[in-house]
Amino acid sequence: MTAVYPSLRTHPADDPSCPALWDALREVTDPEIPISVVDMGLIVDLKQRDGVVNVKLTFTALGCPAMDFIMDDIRERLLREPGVRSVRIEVVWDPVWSKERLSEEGIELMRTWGISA
Amino acid sequence: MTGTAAARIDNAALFAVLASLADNKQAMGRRYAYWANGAPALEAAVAAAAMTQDEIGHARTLYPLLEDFAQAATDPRQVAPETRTLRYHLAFLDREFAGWSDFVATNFLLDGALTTFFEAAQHSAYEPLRQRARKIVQEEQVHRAHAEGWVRRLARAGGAVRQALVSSLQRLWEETLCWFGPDDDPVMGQLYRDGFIDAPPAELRSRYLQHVIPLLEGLAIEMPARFDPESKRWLPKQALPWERWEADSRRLRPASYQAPGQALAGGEDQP
Repeated sequence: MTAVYPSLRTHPADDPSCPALWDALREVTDPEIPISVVDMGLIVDLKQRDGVVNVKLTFTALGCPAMDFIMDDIRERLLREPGVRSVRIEVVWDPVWSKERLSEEGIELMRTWGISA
Repeated sequence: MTGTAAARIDNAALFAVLASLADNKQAMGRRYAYWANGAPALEAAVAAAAMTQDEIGHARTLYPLLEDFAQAATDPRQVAPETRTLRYHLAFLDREFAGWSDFVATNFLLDGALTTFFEAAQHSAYEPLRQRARKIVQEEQVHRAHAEGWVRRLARAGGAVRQALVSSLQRLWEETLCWFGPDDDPVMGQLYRDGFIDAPPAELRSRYLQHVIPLLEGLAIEMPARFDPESKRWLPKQALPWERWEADSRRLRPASYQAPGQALAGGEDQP
């Protein structure tokens, strides 16, 4: 069981799921493993309204040492998207992260790096 | 989630328990850290490092909740670990671990007790606690497996190794059982009545004993607990030392404690 997240490959650009923003975040990788925060399943929700993007973000562990780096990278990347004026990130722990949140690409990448998924 | 003065929660009981949980997690993490470079096996050192990160992470996610409470206004310095001077962790954690068996006992007994609390908070009416509780319970499954594995390993080694484990368990036992509070503890009782946890302190203690005693019994390690056939619950066999209980900090005064103004027996080594 894997998760599927919005993308311009599968959704029209004006889809309310904001596929362009999800694709933008596919360029933001975990500092420890070269896997995107989307494919890792860290993005729980993403909404855009009037130039403000609200991101609900989770982490694999409460003690994740890279939290601040990841949030900075997400903010910086989304601000480069046309029409995005500000980014609000809310860290949430529900749903609890599990391997089921990995995308198909995420699982493949993890296996490439010798991590069971 | 950060609180504003207008939206602050006014709940002294929840504030006190969150502070105690955060302080215990923080102190455990700091004690564990030493063993990331001193555990008896490479695998154990790696695990100690990972658990250090987890415990500090649990503390890091709990401390910010304190800001949301009206009680934080009394002394704002006390809500951040960097400026906090109050120490509401168990007195056992005041000193460095005497050996690896103290690490194992802390992971098995104390961390296990806190996990019993978080298990009881997974449907908490206080959403930030509910969310964190579920994640902590998930992460603690690995700690529990590590703790139980090492308790078995040290117990079966026999001789001085087994004796060191038993000694560590005994030194931590009463204070851990007391952490849940007396049966009529107004703080934990309030959390139960408010729907923040799903059981009063006596029930939490009983659940906890149900978790730890079978493993210890299987290893012929006797701890002072008895099974009550009538209620079908594990209970402490002896009265707990409530005369040494400090309700505010949820810890026991060390047995060697002397009244303020007199020197403590031995220097404290704060984490």
